[in-house]
Amino acid sequence: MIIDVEGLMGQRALKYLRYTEKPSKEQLELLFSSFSEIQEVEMIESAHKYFQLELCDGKYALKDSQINIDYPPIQNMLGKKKSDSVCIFLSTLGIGVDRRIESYKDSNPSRMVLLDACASSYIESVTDEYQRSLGLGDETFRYAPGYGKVPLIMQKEIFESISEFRKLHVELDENCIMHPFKSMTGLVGFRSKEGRI
Amino acid sequence: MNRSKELVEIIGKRFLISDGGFGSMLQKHGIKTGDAGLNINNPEAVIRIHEAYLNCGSQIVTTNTFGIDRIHLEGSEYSVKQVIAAAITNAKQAITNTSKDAFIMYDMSSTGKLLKPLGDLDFDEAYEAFKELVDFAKNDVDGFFIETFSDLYEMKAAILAIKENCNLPVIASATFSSNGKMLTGASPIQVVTMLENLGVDMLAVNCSLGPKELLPIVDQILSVATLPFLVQPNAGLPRFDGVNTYYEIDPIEFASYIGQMIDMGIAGFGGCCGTTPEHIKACIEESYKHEFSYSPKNNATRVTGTMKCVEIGNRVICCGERLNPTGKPKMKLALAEGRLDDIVTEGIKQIEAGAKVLDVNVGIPNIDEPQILTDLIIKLQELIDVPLQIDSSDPVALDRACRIYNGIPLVNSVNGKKEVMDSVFPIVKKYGGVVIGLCIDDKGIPPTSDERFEIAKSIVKEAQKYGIPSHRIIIDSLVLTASAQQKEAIETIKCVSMVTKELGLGTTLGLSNVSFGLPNRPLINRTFLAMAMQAGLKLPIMNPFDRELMGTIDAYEVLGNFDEGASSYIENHKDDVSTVASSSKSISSTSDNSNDDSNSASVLFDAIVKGQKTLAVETVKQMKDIAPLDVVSLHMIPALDKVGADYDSGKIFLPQLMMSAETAKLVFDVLKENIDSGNDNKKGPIILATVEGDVHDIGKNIVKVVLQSYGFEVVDLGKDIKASEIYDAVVNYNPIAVGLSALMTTTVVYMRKTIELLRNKGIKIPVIVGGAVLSQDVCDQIGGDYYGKDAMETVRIAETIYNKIDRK
Repeated sequence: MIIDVEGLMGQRALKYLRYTEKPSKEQLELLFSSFSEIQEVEMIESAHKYFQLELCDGKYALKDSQINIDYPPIQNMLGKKKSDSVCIFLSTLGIGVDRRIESYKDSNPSRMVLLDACASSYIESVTDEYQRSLGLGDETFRYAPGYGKVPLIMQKEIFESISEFRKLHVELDENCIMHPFKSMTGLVGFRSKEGRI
Repeated sequence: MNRSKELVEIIGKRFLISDGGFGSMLQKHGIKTGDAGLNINNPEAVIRIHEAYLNCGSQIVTTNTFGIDRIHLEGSEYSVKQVIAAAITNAKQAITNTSKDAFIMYDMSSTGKLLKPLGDLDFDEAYEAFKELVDFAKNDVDGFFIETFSDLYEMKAAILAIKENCNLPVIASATFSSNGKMLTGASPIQVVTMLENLGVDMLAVNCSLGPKELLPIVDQILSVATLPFLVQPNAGLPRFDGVNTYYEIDPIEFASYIGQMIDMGIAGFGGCCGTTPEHIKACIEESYKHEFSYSPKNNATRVTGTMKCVEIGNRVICCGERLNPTGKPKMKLALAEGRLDDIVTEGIKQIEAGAKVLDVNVGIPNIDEPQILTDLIIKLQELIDVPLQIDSSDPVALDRACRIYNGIPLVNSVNGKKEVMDSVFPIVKKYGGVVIGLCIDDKGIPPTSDERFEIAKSIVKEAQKYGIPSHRIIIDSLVLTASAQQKEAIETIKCVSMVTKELGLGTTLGLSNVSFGLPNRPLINRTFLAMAMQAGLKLPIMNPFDRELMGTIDAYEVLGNFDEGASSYIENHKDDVSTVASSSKSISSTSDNSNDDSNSASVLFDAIVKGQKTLAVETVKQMKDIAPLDVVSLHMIPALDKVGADYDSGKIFLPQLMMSAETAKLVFDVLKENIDSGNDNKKGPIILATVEGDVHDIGKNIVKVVLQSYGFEVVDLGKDIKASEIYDAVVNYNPIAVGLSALMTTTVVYMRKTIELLRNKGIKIPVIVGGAVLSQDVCDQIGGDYYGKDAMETVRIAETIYNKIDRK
């Protein structure tokens, strides 16, 4: 993946650092070296699963699945785009990134903070790219459990229902936090060519 | 000749043609994949696929045993033994049915679990799972095909399980991701080093990528491999049609890539996911148009860590010496008390200082060395990715540590004594290590270079008897103290030169011995280092925190034309240049101390503001005429205040604030040594903890660093800390404040519980709360005394609390 510190990748890292000013050359160099270090240790893996949508009592639901999507933001976005299918995907940077960040805890905390922010941005870029590679049609916004009014508990349903995700060595703890930390799930509605609804 | 010997004879002499995808063939016939009982319940289907590959020209039948082991089959109605027996029977039946002259290779795949520390599977558990497969299969197959492994550590367990339990040939096939590395981060060169040193018969790659995507990986492997190399790509990248996964490269296109790879030097081919007998047939036809061009590359001396591979060749490699308790009371104490985390931190610091390999020694009296060394290696491997030099005189400790080591270790050491070589060489051979040979024998260390050289030669000769080639030996010509044995310092250098020129081997020296008993030891050390490097020294074992010693390597690498474009030198020493330019007087001159200190103060201020740690520490060491407390109040705190103001105004971002804070803390550590011990300047302590249920501790760590930079003593309890543990710490440490951190809304409840517990127990000290989900309102609701919105605010709160106590 190309490191673009002046583009979205860098902007997101700065957002995670809560920095709103125009970055200096020195700051951009720090970001670049951090993204480069992440690239050294990342073990990116991704997987996805498609679901057909069906309407039950006027609400969207995933056909043949226990995953509950009855949350207003998800219902609204599917309705607006008239989606007939949903793709749920998971990407992870792997445990190596977590460990590299952790390794700086005592010896170089500033580096730890930089890497943490950059890794958060990097996993978003990886997820963007993976989503693009799927070539979905007329996609909705990408929602994730824990985002807005979609509860984190949805994560548990996703992991229990999608066996493909278990092969990525990503695990959920009792608080529904993913390990490795730098992992991201996404739920996107789209319209398949067949137009199933 | 038996079949396994025939197979070994073919490897590297002519193309070895493997078979292709199995799952995709089942899918094609409408049979469910991943069914452990298929060999037993539907042998016809399995035999039909084997036959199809044999009829198109495959010379290998890999048994249908992918994903068959005790871990995968846990809870299954089929036993491992049953499935293996049926799979081998099916493979044999296919050969009989087709009357083809093919080899049966047992297909051994990953357990599907990651080994510790990345996952939860013990190395020994993985080994036992693989050993079971070997025991069941070894009498009925011609060899083992280890394939689709994405973790090199797990491959090591599989290879050991085969090589320790039978003598059959092994083809070992790694799987790479699109970033050109294995899932767990190993590079192609690292893979080659590990597999060749562990003694497999043929290297291979398979799965995950199509032939086009594999080309650069194949190129890298062929650039260093001495063993023959086989390739089994997927038929392109997987595509999904809404129901099934499919692969889109047809046989002709697939074969054209194989043709390219034959020209590059591969010695065998086959296919993986999505490939069919037609793909293999097309490859065979394509191979007729190309010459078999496998040629082994030159041997090189390489060692590997979990993710780094280091070649001991042209460049000088610093081996950090600090993980050795000799002369280090703090490390001795840490080992005795089992505080291995402290030792790991020391290792990380050495790597940051430039060490590329770390020596690890735990030899102190009354310690269970095999156990502690093994525990420490496991702990180091969690966070450290560079190669380790396992340093012990106890063969049991060496064996256990090398076994669980995730990579190719440097083994320190053997010497010219027969009994030592007899006990250590088998360990080096089995685990593929590179070994250090010391020029000492039963008569001791010879005084002359000629005699030491003779010992070096005898070590190399003896190693060959154990099957250890000379490129896996590094010679230590041994350094004696110049103060006591002055004549022999130059003999060491001469021996380094002889080993380099006449044996062509890498050399190592433990540098710091040379200067014992002499004043200004660093000067002697770096001069000796320069002499030794000129003689050929490649692996100095040294203190990487000695910046001038490290600088000597950097300078030598420039002047010896090893550091192309002086890029490493410039990167490592760009701050040195600014030191000279801006403060040459203050650092170098001794004629006018008041001017020096004035200039130094300015340099110190700038270094703290810019977060230049080395410059700041070196500068404050020069400021001998300013009282330490004045340095703190007149220079350090103002610098920190400027950084704080810059941060508040958005001129710098958080990592820069922290870099300054870390620099100030290092400066403060230097000053502390000179502050009158009777002068009670302690501020604090302040207890910090991330509350129960919350595993995010970055915010808390930021606050810790910044508080420490302002001179506060911090007791960091860590993350996911129960209220009762925080209460216990308050009782033990009597802090001036407690800081609690939480990132998630779900854990704020534990923050409230902690505050309630403290109050119910009558603890009245102030509680500062912070974290992403906190606000002043939440703070008020849960009974916190202060809301620290960020690290700087928390410092201001801490100062307020401290000043109130101070006035009282």
